[in-house]
Amino acid sequence: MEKDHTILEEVIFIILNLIFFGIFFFFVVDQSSGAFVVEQYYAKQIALILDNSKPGTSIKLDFTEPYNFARDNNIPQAQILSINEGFVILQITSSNPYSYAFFNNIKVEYVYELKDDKVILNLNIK
Amino acid sequence: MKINNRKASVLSIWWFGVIAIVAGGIVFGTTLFYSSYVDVRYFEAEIMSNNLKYCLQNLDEQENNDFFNKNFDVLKNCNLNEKFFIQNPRFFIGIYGNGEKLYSYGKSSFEADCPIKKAIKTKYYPECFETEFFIFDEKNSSHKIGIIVSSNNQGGKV
Repeated sequence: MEKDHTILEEVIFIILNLIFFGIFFFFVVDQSSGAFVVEQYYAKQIALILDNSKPGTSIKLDFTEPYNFARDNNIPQAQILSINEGFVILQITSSNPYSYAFFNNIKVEYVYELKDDKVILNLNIK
Repeated sequence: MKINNRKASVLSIWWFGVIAIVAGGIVFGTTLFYSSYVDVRYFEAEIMSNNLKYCLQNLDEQENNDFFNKNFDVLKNCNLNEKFFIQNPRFFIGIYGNGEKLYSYGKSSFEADCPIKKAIKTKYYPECFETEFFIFDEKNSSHKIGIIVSSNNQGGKV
């Protein structure tokens, strides 16, 4: 009887440890794919693409990840991305958008394209 | 070693105390790491430097004359947004011809920061990129051109 009791305690102890380490694991995974990182990553990536582009260039960028974040956070499509006056402004959560400057003096038109469950951002440099 | 039930339960409490401390460390470290600055300033400086090199190597005869006579608007002719060099400058461009400074735009203190940034690893100093190449004047003689570009472009929530 006492032996059964000890085994039960051991099992509970192991289960609690697994729960603890599981929470750690999911926390780290969640942080690594967090909205702030995605916002910074895509705003800077678009800014670097624009800096490196010449007028007349068309660029397609896989924009599925930030688009899905924005959709999950009820951000209207028109509000997700704004490119004007030398700034790329990206908003994928209800908090303030993230802004990053690009130095190339160009005008940019962009449209979203849905293709095979992916969202493609078409950037046209004028 | 045999441990009785009472000692084992005391050990369990300590064990969860240790886990709580480890959890605190992981939360702190992960938050700090993933909220840290994703730094692309060096790449910006490199891209700007390459854009300038391409621009200056493809000047027509008149522009070439103006360039060597220090009468050439680099920002306008090389398609760079002036506002990032004038109001609250985020960049610096220094252009040297045969060892002499021909043009400079943006925050001049960034140029002085470049050797420091090379020597020590520091987050808040601008990232720099330097390049040298040759261009030809109207008499077809070559001139060594040096470009220093510094970027301290910081993004942020607006």
